[in-house]
Amino acid sequence: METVSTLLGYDTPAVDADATLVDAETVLRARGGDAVAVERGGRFRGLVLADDLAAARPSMATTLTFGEVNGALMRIPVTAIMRRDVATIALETPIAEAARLVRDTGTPVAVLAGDSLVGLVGPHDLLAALERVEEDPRPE
Amino acid sequence: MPIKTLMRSPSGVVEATESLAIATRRLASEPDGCLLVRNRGRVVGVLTMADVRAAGPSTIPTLAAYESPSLTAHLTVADALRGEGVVVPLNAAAADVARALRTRQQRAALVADGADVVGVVTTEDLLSALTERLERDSPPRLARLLVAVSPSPTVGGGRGTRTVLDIGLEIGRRHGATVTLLHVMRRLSPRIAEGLPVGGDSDVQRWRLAGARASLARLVPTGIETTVRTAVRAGEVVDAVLAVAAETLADLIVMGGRRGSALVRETICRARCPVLAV
Amino acid sequence: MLVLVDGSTAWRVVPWIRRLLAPAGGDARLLLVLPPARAVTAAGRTIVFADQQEQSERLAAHFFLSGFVSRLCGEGLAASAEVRFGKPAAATLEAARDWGADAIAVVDSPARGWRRWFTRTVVDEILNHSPVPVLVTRASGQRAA
Repeated sequence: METVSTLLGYDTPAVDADATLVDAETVLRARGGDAVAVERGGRFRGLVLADDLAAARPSMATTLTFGEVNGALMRIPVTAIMRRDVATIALETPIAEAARLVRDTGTPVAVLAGDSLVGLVGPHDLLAALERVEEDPRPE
Repeated sequence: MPIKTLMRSPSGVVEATESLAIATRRLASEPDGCLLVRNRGRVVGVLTMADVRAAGPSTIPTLAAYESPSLTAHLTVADALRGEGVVVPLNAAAADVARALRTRQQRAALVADGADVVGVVTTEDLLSALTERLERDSPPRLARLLVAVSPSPTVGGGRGTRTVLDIGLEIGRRHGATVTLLHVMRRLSPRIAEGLPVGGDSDVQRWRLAGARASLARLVPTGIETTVRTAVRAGEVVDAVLAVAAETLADLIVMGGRRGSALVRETICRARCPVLAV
Repeated sequence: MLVLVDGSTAWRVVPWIRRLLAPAGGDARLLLVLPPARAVTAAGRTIVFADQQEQSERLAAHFFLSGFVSRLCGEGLAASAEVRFGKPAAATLEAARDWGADAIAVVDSPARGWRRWFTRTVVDEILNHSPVPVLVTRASGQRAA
Protein backbone atom coordinates (compact mmCIF):
# COMPACT_ATOMS: atom_id res chain seq x y z
CA MET A 1 0.00 0.00 0.00
CA GLU A 2 1.51 3.31 -1.10
CA THR A 3 1.94 5.91 1.59
CA VAL A 4 2.40 9.67 1.40
CA SER A 5 6.13 9.28 2.05
CA THR A 6 6.47 8.48 -1.67
CA LEU A 7 4.94 11.85 -2.59
CA LEU A 8 7.19 14.15 -0.62
CA GLY A 9 9.89 16.28 -2.22
CA TYR A 10 13.38 17.02 -0.99
CA ASP A 11 12.32 19.88 1.22
CA THR A 12 9.13 21.62 2.17
CA PRO A 13 8.23 25.14 1.03
CA ALA A 14 8.02 27.07 4.28
CA VAL A 15 8.33 30.55 5.71
CA ASP A 16 8.68 31.87 9.20
CA ALA A 17 5.61 33.25 10.96
CA ASP A 18 7.14 36.75 10.75
CA ALA A 19 7.34 36.59 6.96
CA THR A 20 5.14 38.74 4.77
CA LEU A 21 2.74 37.88 1.98
CA VAL A 22 5.37 38.90 -0.56
CA ASP A 23 7.80 36.40 0.99
CA ALA A 24 5.17 33.66 0.71
CA GLU A 25 4.47 34.58 -2.92
CA THR A 26 8.18 34.48 -3.69
CA VAL A 27 8.54 30.99 -2.24
CA LEU A 28 5.49 29.72 -4.11
CA ARG A 29 6.66 31.22 -7.38
CA ALA A 30 10.06 29.58 -7.00
CA ARG A 31 8.87 26.19 -5.77
CA GLY A 32 5.43 25.80 -7.29
CA GLY A 33 2.81 23.81 -5.42
CA ASP A 34 -0.42 24.62 -3.67
CA ALA A 35 0.72 26.10 -0.37
CA VAL A 36 3.52 27.31 1.85
CA ALA A 37 3.92 26.08 5.40
CA VAL A 38 4.33 28.57 8.24
CA GLU A 39 6.63 27.67 11.07
CA ARG A 40 7.62 29.33 14.29
CA GLY A 41 10.42 28.03 16.43
CA GLY A 42 10.72 25.00 14.18
CA ARG A 43 7.11 23.99 14.81
CA PHE A 44 4.36 23.87 12.24
CA ARG A 45 1.80 26.63 12.71
CA GLY A 46 -0.35 26.64 9.61
CA LEU A 47 -0.57 26.97 5.85
CA VAL A 48 -0.74 29.85 3.42
CA LEU A 49 -2.59 28.64 0.38
CA ALA A 50 -1.85 29.80 -3.14
CA ASP A 51 -5.59 30.47 -3.51
CA ASP A 52 -5.66 32.67 -0.41
CA LEU A 53 -2.64 34.63 -1.63
CA ALA A 54 -4.40 35.24 -4.91
CA ALA A 55 -7.56 36.31 -3.09
CA ALA A 56 -5.56 38.70 -0.89
CA ARG A 57 -4.36 40.65 -3.91
CA PRO A 58 -6.70 43.44 -4.99
CA SER A 59 -8.82 43.12 -8.10
CA MET A 60 -8.26 45.03 -11.29
CA ALA A 61 -10.71 47.61 -9.97
CA THR A 62 -8.29 48.81 -7.30
CA THR A 63 -7.16 52.43 -7.30
CA LEU A 64 -3.72 51.40 -6.02
CA THR A 65 -0.76 51.21 -8.37
CA PHE A 66 1.14 47.97 -8.80
CA GLY A 67 3.98 49.35 -6.68
CA GLU A 68 1.57 50.43 -3.94
CA VAL A 69 -0.04 46.99 -3.89
CA ASN A 70 3.32 45.25 -3.52
CA GLY A 71 4.37 47.75 -0.90
CA ALA A 72 1.22 46.99 1.09
CA LEU A 73 1.70 43.23 0.74
CA MET A 74 5.26 43.61 2.06
CA ARG A 75 3.81 44.91 5.31
CA ILE A 76 1.13 42.24 5.80
CA PRO A 77 2.31 39.19 7.78
CA VAL A 78 1.49 35.70 6.53
CA THR A 79 -0.43 35.12 9.75
CA ALA A 80 -3.12 37.47 8.39
CA ILE A 81 -4.28 34.81 5.93
CA MET A 82 -2.70 31.70 7.41
CA ARG A 83 -5.01 28.73 7.89
CA ARG A 84 -4.49 27.25 11.30
CA ASP A 85 -6.98 24.38 11.20
CA VAL A 86 -5.09 22.20 8.78
CA ALA A 87 -5.49 18.45 8.59
CA THR A 88 -2.27 16.68 9.52
CA ILE A 89 -1.20 13.17 8.62
CA ALA A 90 1.76 10.90 9.24
CA LEU A 91 4.31 9.62 6.74
CA GLU A 92 2.73 6.18 6.75
CA THR A 93 -0.75 7.45 5.89
CA PRO A 94 -2.06 5.77 2.72
CA ILE A 95 -2.19 8.03 -0.31
CA ALA A 96 -5.88 7.21 -0.76
CA GLU A 97 -6.60 8.63 2.69
CA ALA A 98 -4.59 11.76 1.93
CA ALA A 99 -6.44 12.17 -1.37
CA ARG A 100 -9.77 11.94 0.40
CA LEU A 101 -8.71 14.49 3.02
CA VAL A 102 -7.42 16.96 0.42
CA ARG A 103 -10.60 16.55 -1.61
CA ASP A 104 -12.91 16.94 1.40
CA THR A 105 -11.13 19.83 3.11
CA GLY A 106 -10.24 21.66 -0.09
CA THR A 107 -6.76 22.37 1.26
CA PRO A 108 -3.40 20.62 1.25
CA VAL A 109 -2.57 18.52 4.29
CA ALA A 110 0.58 18.77 6.37
CA VAL A 111 2.71 15.68 6.90
CA LEU A 112 4.20 15.57 10.37
CA ALA A 113 6.72 13.28 12.01
CA GLY A 114 6.03 13.93 15.67
CA ASP A 115 5.83 17.71 15.88
CA SER A 116 8.11 18.30 12.92
CA LEU A 117 6.79 19.20 9.52
CA VAL A 118 8.22 16.89 6.88
CA GLY A 119 6.12 17.83 3.90
CA LEU A 120 2.89 19.02 2.34
CA VAL A 121 0.53 17.05 0.14
CA GLY A 122 -1.84 18.99 -2.09
CA PRO A 123 -3.83 18.51 -5.27
CA HIS A 124 -0.70 19.14 -7.37
CA ASP A 125 1.11 16.18 -5.78
CA LEU A 126 -1.92 13.92 -5.92
CA LEU A 127 -2.60 14.59 -9.59
CA ALA A 128 0.99 13.57 -10.29
CA ALA A 129 0.35 10.39 -8.26
CA LEU A 130 -2.75 9.67 -10.35
CA GLU A 131 -0.71 9.94 -13.54
CA ARG A 132 1.84 7.52 -12.15
CA VAL A 133 -0.75 5.05 -10.86
CA GLU A 134 -2.78 5.05 -14.07
CA GLU A 135 0.23 4.67 -16.30
CA ASP A 136 1.80 1.82 -14.33
CA PRO A 137 0.84 -1.51 -15.90
CA ARG A 138 -0.98 -3.62 -13.30
CA PRO A 139 0.30 -7.17 -12.76
CA GLU A 140 -2.14 -9.81 -14.19
CA MET B 1 -9.94 5.02 -16.12
CA PRO B 2 -11.97 6.77 -18.83
CA ILE B 3 -13.02 10.31 -18.15
CA LYS B 4 -16.65 9.75 -19.06
CA THR B 5 -17.14 7.77 -15.83
CA LEU B 6 -15.82 10.70 -13.78
CA MET B 7 -17.22 13.76 -15.41
CA ARG B 8 -20.00 15.85 -13.96
CA SER B 9 -22.48 18.37 -15.26
CA PRO B 10 -21.59 22.00 -14.58
CA SER B 11 -23.90 24.01 -12.34
CA GLY B 12 -24.83 26.25 -15.26
CA VAL B 13 -23.59 28.52 -18.00
CA VAL B 14 -22.45 32.12 -17.71
CA GLU B 15 -21.46 34.62 -20.34
CA ALA B 16 -17.93 36.01 -20.23
CA THR B 17 -19.41 39.49 -20.14
CA GLU B 18 -21.56 38.67 -17.11
CA SER B 19 -20.94 40.55 -13.90
CA LEU B 20 -18.44 38.79 -11.67
CA ALA B 21 -20.57 39.59 -8.64
CA ILE B 22 -23.56 37.74 -10.10
CA ALA B 23 -21.42 34.74 -11.03
CA THR B 24 -20.01 34.75 -7.49
CA ARG B 25 -23.48 34.59 -5.98
CA ARG B 26 -24.41 31.70 -8.27
CA LEU B 27 -21.32 29.76 -7.27
CA ALA B 28 -21.81 30.57 -3.57
CA SER B 29 -25.09 28.64 -3.64
CA GLU B 30 -23.30 25.57 -5.02
CA PRO B 31 -19.97 25.39 -3.20
CA ASP B 32 -18.74 22.34 -5.12
CA GLY B 33 -20.03 23.56 -8.44
CA CYS B 34 -18.56 25.25 -11.46
CA LEU B 35 -19.95 27.29 -14.33
CA LEU B 36 -19.26 26.95 -18.03
CA VAL B 37 -18.12 30.24 -19.50
CA ARG B 38 -19.39 31.12 -22.92
CA ASN B 39 -18.08 33.88 -25.17
CA ARG B 40 -19.88 34.69 -28.42
CA GLY B 41 -21.60 31.33 -28.46
CA ARG B 42 -18.47 29.30 -27.82
CA VAL B 43 -17.56 27.65 -24.49
CA VAL B 44 -14.17 29.05 -23.52
CA GLY B 45 -13.59 27.87 -19.99
CA VAL B 46 -14.79 26.83 -16.56
CA LEU B 47 -15.32 29.20 -13.65
CA THR B 48 -14.81 27.98 -10.09
CA MET B 49 -15.07 29.63 -6.70
CA ALA B 50 -11.30 29.89 -6.48
CA ASP B 51 -11.27 31.86 -9.73
CA VAL B 52 -13.84 34.39 -8.54
CA ARG B 53 -12.05 34.83 -5.22
CA ALA B 54 -8.79 35.55 -7.01
CA ALA B 55 -10.38 38.07 -9.36
CA GLY B 56 -12.65 39.71 -6.83
CA PRO B 57 -11.92 42.34 -4.17
CA SER B 58 -9.08 41.69 -1.77
CA THR B 59 -9.80 39.67 1.35
CA ILE B 60 -7.52 42.05 3.29
CA PRO B 61 -9.71 44.90 4.60
CA THR B 62 -6.96 47.53 4.29
CA LEU B 63 -6.54 46.70 0.60
CA ALA B 64 -10.25 46.26 -0.08
CA ALA B 65 -10.72 49.86 1.05
CA TYR B 66 -9.23 50.89 -2.30
CA GLU B 67 -11.80 48.88 -4.28
CA SER B 68 -15.08 50.73 -4.16
CA PRO B 69 -18.26 48.81 -5.07
CA SER B 70 -18.87 51.19 -7.97
CA LEU B 71 -15.59 50.02 -9.48
CA THR B 72 -15.80 46.31 -8.66
CA ALA B 73 -19.31 46.24 -10.14
CA HIS B 74 -17.63 46.49 -13.55
CA LEU B 75 -15.61 43.32 -13.07
CA THR B 76 -16.75 40.56 -15.39
CA VAL B 77 -16.39 36.80 -15.61
CA ALA B 78 -13.77 37.25 -18.31
CA ASP B 79 -11.55 38.98 -15.73
CA ALA B 80 -11.61 35.80 -13.63
CA LEU B 81 -10.62 33.31 -16.29
CA ARG B 82 -7.05 32.12 -15.92
CA GLY B 83 -6.01 31.63 -19.51
CA GLU B 84 -7.49 29.36 -22.14
CA GLY B 85 -9.60 26.53 -20.76
CA VAL B 86 -8.34 22.95 -20.78
CA VAL B 87 -10.33 20.84 -23.23
CA VAL B 88 -10.07 17.06 -23.30
CA PRO B 89 -11.83 14.52 -25.54
CA LEU B 90 -14.51 12.22 -24.15
CA ASN B 91 -12.24 9.20 -24.54
CA ALA B 92 -9.38 10.80 -22.63
CA ALA B 93 -7.80 8.89 -19.76
CA ALA B 94 -7.80 10.24 -16.24
CA ALA B 95 -3.99 10.43 -16.29
CA ASP B 96 -4.04 12.70 -19.35
CA VAL B 97 -6.53 15.06 -17.76
CA ALA B 98 -4.55 15.12 -14.52
CA ARG B 99 -1.39 16.04 -16.43
CA ALA B 100 -3.17 18.77 -18.35
CA LEU B 101 -4.67 20.34 -15.22
CA ARG B 102 -1.42 20.09 -13.30
CA THR B 103 0.82 21.57 -15.96
CA ARG B 104 -1.59 24.36 -16.84
CA GLN B 105 -2.51 25.15 -13.23
CA GLN B 106 -6.23 24.80 -13.84
CA ARG B 107 -8.89 23.28 -11.61
CA ALA B 108 -11.34 21.92 -14.16
CA ALA B 109 -11.30 20.63 -17.70
CA LEU B 110 -14.00 20.76 -20.34
CA VAL B 111 -14.90 17.38 -21.79
CA ALA B 112 -15.73 17.59 -25.48
CA ASP B 113 -17.37 15.11 -27.78
CA GLY B 114 -16.48 16.54 -31.15
CA ALA B 115 -17.48 20.18 -31.10
CA ASP B 116 -19.87 19.81 -28.15
CA VAL B 117 -18.96 20.24 -24.51
CA VAL B 118 -20.58 17.32 -22.71
CA GLY B 119 -19.26 17.70 -19.18
CA VAL B 120 -16.61 18.93 -16.80
CA VAL B 121 -13.95 17.10 -14.82
CA THR B 122 -12.59 18.84 -11.75
CA THR B 123 -9.58 18.24 -9.56
CA GLU B 124 -11.94 16.83 -6.92
CA ASP B 125 -13.28 14.27 -9.41
CA LEU B 126 -9.74 13.18 -10.19
CA LEU B 127 -8.88 12.89 -6.50
CA SER B 128 -11.91 10.64 -6.06
CA ALA B 129 -10.69 8.55 -8.99
CA LEU B 130 -7.25 8.27 -7.40
CA THR B 131 -8.78 7.14 -4.12
CA GLU B 132 -10.87 4.52 -5.84
CA ARG B 133 -7.98 3.31 -7.96
CA LEU B 134 -5.66 2.90 -4.96
CA GLU B 135 -8.34 1.24 -2.90
CA ARG B 136 -8.75 -1.56 -5.41
CA ASP B 137 -5.68 -3.08 -3.77
CA SER B 138 -6.35 -2.06 -0.18
CA PRO B 139 -10.02 -1.88 0.84
CA PRO B 140 -11.52 1.48 1.66
CA ARG B 141 -12.54 2.08 5.22
CA LEU B 142 -13.91 4.70 7.52
CA ALA B 143 -11.11 6.44 9.41
CA ARG B 144 -13.05 8.52 11.94
CA LEU B 145 -16.48 8.06 13.49
CA LEU B 146 -18.52 10.34 15.69
CA VAL B 147 -20.99 8.58 17.97
CA ALA B 148 -23.47 10.84 19.73
CA VAL B 149 -24.45 9.21 23.01
CA SER B 150 -26.11 10.08 26.24
CA PRO B 151 -24.74 8.61 29.47
CA SER B 152 -28.35 8.24 30.62
CA PRO B 153 -31.01 6.22 28.74
CA THR B 154 -32.62 8.08 25.84
CA VAL B 155 -36.24 9.08 26.00
CA GLY B 156 -38.56 7.49 23.44
CA GLY B 157 -37.79 5.19 20.58
CA GLY B 158 -37.06 2.23 22.80
CA ARG B 159 -33.45 2.24 21.71
CA GLY B 160 -31.08 2.96 24.55
CA THR B 161 -27.60 4.38 24.57
CA ARG B 162 -26.16 0.90 24.69
CA THR B 163 -27.35 0.12 21.14
CA VAL B 164 -25.92 3.32 19.67
CA LEU B 165 -22.66 2.73 21.48
CA ASP B 166 -22.50 -0.94 20.54
CA ILE B 167 -23.12 -0.19 16.87
CA GLY B 168 -20.66 2.69 16.84
CA LEU B 169 -17.90 0.65 18.48
CA GLU B 170 -18.57 -2.34 16.23
CA ILE B 171 -18.25 -0.20 13.12
CA GLY B 172 -15.12 1.36 14.59
CA ARG B 173 -13.63 -2.06 15.28
CA ARG B 174 -14.32 -3.34 11.77
CA HIS B 175 -12.76 -0.29 10.16
CA GLY B 176 -9.93 0.28 12.59
CA ALA B 177 -11.39 3.75 12.93
CA THR B 178 -10.91 6.32 15.65
CA VAL B 179 -14.21 6.68 17.48
CA THR B 180 -15.19 9.90 19.22
CA LEU B 181 -18.00 9.52 21.76
CA LEU B 182 -19.82 12.80 22.13
CA HIS B 183 -22.30 13.84 24.77
CA VAL B 184 -24.04 17.17 24.47
CA MET B 185 -25.29 18.61 27.74
CA ARG B 186 -28.12 21.05 27.89
CA ARG B 187 -27.15 24.43 29.22
CA LEU B 188 -28.22 25.29 32.72
CA SER B 189 -31.83 26.45 32.77
CA PRO B 190 -32.01 30.27 33.17
CA ARG B 191 -34.50 29.86 36.01
CA ILE B 192 -32.07 27.68 37.93
CA ALA B 193 -29.12 29.90 37.09
CA GLU B 194 -30.96 32.93 38.42
CA GLY B 195 -31.42 31.27 41.78
CA LEU B 196 -27.72 30.61 42.26
CA PRO B 197 -25.24 32.92 43.99
CA VAL B 198 -22.90 34.99 41.82
CA GLY B 199 -20.49 32.69 40.01
CA GLY B 200 -22.47 29.71 41.16
CA ASP B 201 -23.74 28.88 37.67
CA SER B 202 -20.14 28.51 36.42
CA ASP B 203 -19.35 26.18 39.30
CA VAL B 204 -22.45 24.11 38.61
CA GLN B 205 -21.59 23.92 34.93
CA ARG B 206 -18.03 22.77 35.69
CA TRP B 207 -19.38 20.14 38.06
CA ARG B 208 -21.87 18.96 35.46
CA LEU B 209 -19.17 18.79 32.78
CA ALA B 210 -16.89 16.80 35.03
CA GLY B 211 -19.71 14.43 35.87
CA ALA B 212 -20.64 13.99 32.22
CA ARG B 213 -17.02 13.29 31.24
CA ALA B 214 -16.74 10.68 33.98
CA SER B 215 -20.01 9.03 32.93
CA LEU B 216 -18.91 8.99 29.31
CA ALA B 217 -15.55 7.48 30.19
CA ARG B 218 -17.34 4.68 32.07
CA LEU B 219 -19.26 3.79 28.91
CA VAL B 220 -16.09 2.81 27.07
CA PRO B 221 -15.50 -0.94 27.44
CA THR B 222 -12.05 -1.95 28.62
CA GLY B 223 -9.69 -4.01 26.51
CA ILE B 224 -11.09 -3.00 23.13
CA GLU B 225 -8.77 -2.53 20.18
CA THR B 226 -10.48 0.54 18.83
CA THR B 227 -9.12 4.01 19.64
CA VAL B 228 -11.90 5.77 21.53
CA ARG B 229 -11.94 9.44 22.51
CA THR B 230 -14.62 11.21 24.48
CA ALA B 231 -15.95 14.73 24.20
CA VAL B 232 -18.56 16.67 26.14
CA ARG B 233 -20.13 19.87 24.89
CA ALA B 234 -22.86 22.11 26.27
CA GLY B 235 -25.50 23.80 24.18
CA GLU B 236 -27.63 22.99 21.17
CA VAL B 237 -27.32 19.32 20.25
CA VAL B 238 -27.20 19.63 16.48
CA ASP B 239 -24.74 22.53 16.50
CA ALA B 240 -22.45 20.65 18.87
CA VAL B 241 -22.63 17.39 16.90
CA LEU B 242 -21.81 19.15 13.66
CA ALA B 243 -19.01 21.18 15.24
CA VAL B 244 -17.31 18.09 16.67
CA ALA B 245 -17.87 16.23 13.38
CA ALA B 246 -16.06 19.05 11.61
CA GLU B 247 -13.25 19.18 14.19
CA THR B 248 -12.64 15.43 14.04
CA LEU B 249 -13.20 15.20 10.25
CA ALA B 250 -15.74 12.46 10.94
CA ASP B 251 -16.54 10.13 8.06
CA LEU B 252 -19.78 9.02 9.67
CA ILE B 253 -22.05 10.25 12.47
CA VAL B 254 -23.88 7.58 14.47
CA MET B 255 -26.77 8.82 16.55
CA GLY B 256 -29.76 7.47 18.40
CA GLY B 257 -33.00 8.96 19.61
CA ARG B 258 -36.22 8.92 17.61
CA ARG B 259 -35.12 8.58 13.99
CA GLY B 260 -37.74 10.90 12.55
CA SER B 261 -37.21 13.56 15.19
CA ALA B 262 -36.40 17.12 14.22
CA LEU B 263 -33.01 16.74 15.87
CA VAL B 264 -31.98 13.76 13.73
CA ARG B 265 -33.51 15.31 10.64
CA GLU B 266 -31.63 18.56 11.08
CA THR B 267 -28.37 16.71 11.63
CA ILE B 268 -28.94 14.81 8.41
CA CYS B 269 -29.72 18.02 6.54
CA ARG B 270 -26.63 19.87 7.73
CA ALA B 271 -23.96 17.19 8.20
CA ARG B 272 -21.03 17.07 5.80
CA CYS B 273 -20.91 13.29 6.10
CA PRO B 274 -23.53 10.52 6.16
CA VAL B 275 -25.55 9.94 9.30
CA LEU B 276 -26.48 6.52 10.63
CA ALA B 277 -29.72 6.90 12.57
CA VAL B 278 -29.86 3.92 14.92
CA MET C 1 -27.76 -3.46 3.81
CA LEU C 2 -30.73 -2.55 1.60
CA VAL C 3 -29.89 0.47 -0.55
CA LEU C 4 -32.71 2.49 -2.05
CA VAL C 5 -31.51 4.10 -5.27
CA ASP C 6 -32.85 5.95 -8.25
CA GLY C 7 -31.30 7.09 -11.50
CA SER C 8 -30.02 10.36 -10.15
CA THR C 9 -28.67 9.28 -6.75
CA ALA C 10 -27.12 5.84 -7.21
CA TRP C 11 -23.74 7.35 -8.05
CA ARG C 12 -23.76 9.16 -4.70
CA VAL C 13 -24.70 6.34 -2.33
CA VAL C 14 -22.93 3.34 -3.90
CA PRO C 15 -19.40 4.59 -3.07
CA TRP C 16 -20.46 5.06 0.55
CA ILE C 17 -21.87 1.54 0.65
CA ARG C 18 -18.63 0.26 -0.77
CA ARG C 19 -16.63 2.13 1.82
CA LEU C 20 -18.86 1.08 4.70
CA LEU C 21 -19.14 -2.61 3.88
CA ALA C 22 -15.75 -3.38 2.30
CA PRO C 23 -13.78 -4.10 5.52
CA ALA C 24 -16.34 -6.65 6.69
CA GLY C 25 -17.39 -7.97 3.28
CA GLY C 26 -21.09 -7.41 3.81
CA ASP C 27 -24.18 -7.94 1.68
CA ALA C 28 -25.71 -5.11 -0.28
CA ARG C 29 -29.00 -5.19 -2.15
CA LEU C 30 -29.75 -2.27 -4.46
CA LEU C 31 -33.45 -1.53 -4.62
CA LEU C 32 -35.11 0.54 -7.33
CA VAL C 33 -38.80 1.35 -6.78
CA LEU C 34 -40.82 2.38 -9.80
CA PRO C 35 -44.35 3.76 -9.92
CA PRO C 36 -46.99 1.14 -10.78
CA ALA C 37 -46.97 0.47 -14.50
CA ARG C 38 -49.96 1.45 -16.58
CA ALA C 39 -51.27 0.06 -19.79
CA VAL C 40 -50.46 2.07 -22.89
CA THR C 41 -53.55 2.86 -24.95
CA ALA C 42 -54.20 4.77 -28.15
CA ALA C 43 -57.49 5.53 -29.80
CA GLY C 44 -59.26 3.37 -27.25
CA ARG C 45 -57.10 0.32 -27.96
CA THR C 46 -54.60 -1.20 -25.52
CA ILE C 47 -51.23 -1.30 -27.17
CA VAL C 48 -49.20 -2.49 -24.17
CA PHE C 49 -50.81 -4.13 -21.19
CA ALA C 50 -49.81 -3.08 -17.71
CA ASP C 51 -47.97 -6.31 -16.95
CA GLN C 52 -46.08 -6.08 -20.22
CA GLN C 53 -45.14 -2.49 -19.42
CA GLU C 54 -44.04 -3.56 -15.98
CA GLN C 55 -41.87 -6.32 -17.39
CA SER C 56 -40.24 -3.92 -19.79
CA GLU C 57 -39.53 -1.39 -17.05
CA ARG C 58 -38.22 -4.10 -14.75
CA LEU C 59 -35.72 -5.22 -17.38
CA ALA C 60 -34.54 -1.67 -17.98
CA ALA C 61 -34.18 -1.09 -14.25
CA HIS C 62 -32.18 -4.28 -13.73
CA PHE C 63 -29.94 -3.26 -16.60
CA PHE C 64 -29.35 0.10 -14.92
CA LEU C 65 -28.57 -1.53 -11.57
CA SER C 66 -26.33 -4.22 -13.01
CA GLY C 67 -23.45 -1.77 -13.51
CA PHE C 68 -23.43 -0.84 -9.82
CA VAL C 69 -23.86 -4.47 -8.74
CA SER C 70 -20.87 -5.48 -10.86
CA ARG C 71 -18.81 -2.71 -9.38
CA LEU C 72 -19.61 -3.78 -5.80
CA CYS C 73 -19.05 -7.46 -6.59
CA GLY C 74 -15.71 -6.49 -8.08
CA GLU C 75 -14.79 -5.10 -4.65
CA GLY C 76 -15.51 -8.44 -3.01
CA LEU C 77 -18.98 -7.63 -1.72
CA ALA C 78 -22.04 -9.83 -2.14
CA ALA C 79 -24.27 -7.48 -4.12
CA SER C 80 -27.64 -8.03 -5.74
CA ALA C 81 -30.44 -5.96 -7.24
CA GLU C 82 -34.20 -5.83 -6.84
CA VAL C 83 -36.92 -3.88 -8.59
CA ARG C 84 -40.32 -3.24 -7.04
CA PHE C 85 -43.35 -1.24 -8.05
CA GLY C 86 -45.34 0.96 -5.73
CA LYS C 87 -44.73 3.77 -3.28
CA PRO C 88 -41.00 4.12 -2.56
CA ALA C 89 -41.12 4.25 1.24
CA ALA C 90 -43.61 1.42 1.67
CA ALA C 91 -41.87 -0.76 -0.91
CA THR C 92 -38.51 -0.15 0.75
CA LEU C 93 -39.74 -1.08 4.21
CA GLU C 94 -41.43 -4.19 2.81
CA ALA C 95 -38.28 -5.19 0.91
CA ALA C 96 -36.17 -4.68 4.04
CA ARG C 97 -38.51 -6.92 5.98
CA ASP C 98 -38.66 -9.61 3.27
CA TRP C 99 -34.91 -9.70 2.80
CA GLY C 100 -34.03 -9.41 6.49
CA ALA C 101 -31.95 -6.28 6.05
CA ASP C 102 -29.78 -5.16 8.98
CA ALA C 103 -29.94 -1.56 7.79
CA ILE C 104 -31.39 0.62 5.06
CA ALA C 105 -29.39 3.21 3.11
CA VAL C 106 -31.06 6.12 1.36
CA VAL C 107 -30.10 9.36 -0.33
CA ASP C 108 -31.85 12.46 0.90
CA SER C 109 -32.74 15.43 -1.23
CA PRO C 110 -34.36 17.49 1.48
CA ALA C 111 -36.69 20.34 0.68
CA ARG C 112 -35.26 23.73 1.55
CA GLY C 113 -36.51 26.53 3.74
CA TRP C 114 -40.19 26.64 4.62
CA ARG C 115 -40.96 23.73 2.35
CA ARG C 116 -39.08 21.47 4.73
CA TRP C 117 -41.86 21.80 7.24
CA PHE C 118 -44.55 20.86 4.73
CA THR C 119 -42.94 18.20 2.55
CA ARG C 120 -42.90 14.67 3.83
CA THR C 121 -40.20 12.91 1.91
CA VAL C 122 -39.56 9.27 1.28
CA VAL C 123 -36.62 9.50 3.66
CA ASP C 124 -38.83 10.92 6.42
CA GLU C 125 -41.20 7.99 6.08
CA ILE C 126 -38.41 5.46 6.14
CA LEU C 127 -36.80 7.12 9.15
CA ASN C 128 -40.09 7.08 11.03
CA HIS C 129 -41.10 3.50 10.26
CA SER C 130 -37.91 1.52 9.75
CA PRO C 131 -37.29 -1.28 12.28
CA VAL C 132 -33.56 -1.17 11.50
CA PRO C 133 -30.92 1.60 11.47
CA VAL C 134 -31.05 3.97 8.51
CA LEU C 135 -27.96 5.39 6.81
CA VAL C 136 -28.70 8.70 5.14
CA THR C 137 -26.44 10.45 2.68
CA ARG C 138 -27.33 13.64 0.84
CA ALA C 139 -27.51 14.25 -2.85
CA SER C 140 -25.57 17.51 -2.54
CA GLY C 141 -23.60 19.58 -0.08
CA GLN C 142 -21.93 16.55 1.39
CA ARG C 143 -18.51 15.10 0.78
CA ALA C 144 -18.18 12.20 -1.61
CA ALA C 145 -17.08 8.77 -0.42
